[in-house]
Amino acid sequence: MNNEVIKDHIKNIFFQVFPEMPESDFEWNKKQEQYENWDSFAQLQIIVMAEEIFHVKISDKYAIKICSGKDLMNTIKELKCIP
Amino acid sequence: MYTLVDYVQKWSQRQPEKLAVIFKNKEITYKELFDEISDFSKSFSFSKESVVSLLFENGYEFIIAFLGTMYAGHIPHIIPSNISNENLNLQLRAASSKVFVISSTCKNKFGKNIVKKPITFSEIKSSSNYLNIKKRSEIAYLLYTSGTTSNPKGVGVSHKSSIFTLSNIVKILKYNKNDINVLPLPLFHSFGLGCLNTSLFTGATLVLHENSNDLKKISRSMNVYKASTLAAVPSTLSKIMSVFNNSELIFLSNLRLICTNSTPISPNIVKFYQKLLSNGHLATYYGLTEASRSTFMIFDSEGRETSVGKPAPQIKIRIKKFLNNNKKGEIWINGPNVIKNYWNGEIDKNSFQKGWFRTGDIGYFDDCGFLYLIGRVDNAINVGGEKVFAEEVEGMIKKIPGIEEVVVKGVSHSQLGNVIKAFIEKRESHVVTKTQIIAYCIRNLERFKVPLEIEFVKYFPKNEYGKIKRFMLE
Repeated sequence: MNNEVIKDHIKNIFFQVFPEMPESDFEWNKKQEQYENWDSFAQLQIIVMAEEIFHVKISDKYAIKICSGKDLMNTIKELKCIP
Repeated sequence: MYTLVDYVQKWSQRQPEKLAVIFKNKEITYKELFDEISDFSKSFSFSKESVVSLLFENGYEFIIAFLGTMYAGHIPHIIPSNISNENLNLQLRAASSKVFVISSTCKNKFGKNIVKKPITFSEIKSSSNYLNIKKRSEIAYLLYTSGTTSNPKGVGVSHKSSIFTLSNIVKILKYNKNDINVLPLPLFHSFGLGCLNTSLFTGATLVLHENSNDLKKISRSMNVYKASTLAAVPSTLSKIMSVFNNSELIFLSNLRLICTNSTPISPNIVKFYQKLLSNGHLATYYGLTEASRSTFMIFDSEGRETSVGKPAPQIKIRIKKFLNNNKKGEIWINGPNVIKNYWNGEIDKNSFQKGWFRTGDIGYFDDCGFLYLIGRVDNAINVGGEKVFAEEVEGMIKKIPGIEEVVVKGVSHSQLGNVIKAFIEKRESHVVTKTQIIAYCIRNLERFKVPLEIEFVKYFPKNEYGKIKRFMLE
């Protein structure tokens, strides 16, 4: 799984968790507080989807640090040992 | 006091040659049926009103034993033929049954470790110690509730209540003696039993099937006998939609009525059958065993596909509202169809209050007086202070193609207290992912109602009434 595939999957997760967000509004560095609906439920929904799609287990330690699309990407890359 | 057997007797005199029941190509007239009932009623060697437990698959023996026991003045206790040994013993003890009559095929299944020695249909019929009972029982029959959340409870339905309910069914759904009623439901279930009773009450002909497994056989019988009504659970209606193509479905188009019940019906099924039944209707009803057929719904084009209809005549329904909601609440029922208490005098003040039966179902009325069910009080989940009804989430997930069955429960979560967990059985050969399910729920439910844990299961543990044992899922 290369970087581009990971990026596509992550963007897809964000559009599914925030269906009301226009594609043009997605930014890798956009933070949790800048999302209208990124509450603790959305946080867990992102994690559950990412775990299934990337076949990884995201522990609480990693989960609480995920506050943007970029954070999720870095977490996945770390867990999948992708440089 | 009239009993169902009085009606069978009436029809045996007025239309002796009319076919009462057709089962496995064997036909029995009203006269023959009443003679058999009368004959069976002479099988008992005790005169004091007693409970007679009956365990039969669908067939003539069921009908004759059921009505013969009733005619003898005793109380038939209907036991599901697929009951477990443990539950069988539980019911036999709780019902204090005097005799346990069983079909010969079932006898081999339940031969050992049963608290009451079973006797077969032919064995009891061959006994000749007939004693005439002095007074007929007020109770027509005894059924046990499915007990999905607790031990099964005995429900003794009186003759008065039974005849009242049958009269309402006839009045509203227009059952009549010209009907040919096709029934592929188990008679031990209150839905199937109600259909049998309705057919005999009206002097119609019942085409009984062993079960609903063989849809081709059922469709053939509907063509051969020119059926006018069909009773089937929603899952059978759904299977019919997938098994037959449009040109084959012609066997249904001449029906005047399809009656369905048991589990919630999906709006897609309602719409499909509304379109198919150009000269007929799809109908359902609401009512637990304790308050049979309290509402009726005949689906029309007004778009109330998820309603269970309006209260039947003489039946009052009250919504005991929750403090924080002005419309939804627990459904309470009062009327001649409501039992006074559970069997063996177990006073249940939680369920019965001043003539009202607390159903444990949550619902609301719309502005036109149609009742809608939301879920069970027992299945309400507290998520972050918000009440979530499992059935609402389950209904939404079931709309996703490829989902066979869903159960939603609350599970504790380290950060959020309680979250929703969905147990899901997928249809064979369908690929459905957790991501798809969560995404679908996000689009269609409030965020706190979206399952955060999903577990795919191969199958659900079910009780003998086909209901999922929710308490076994963790």
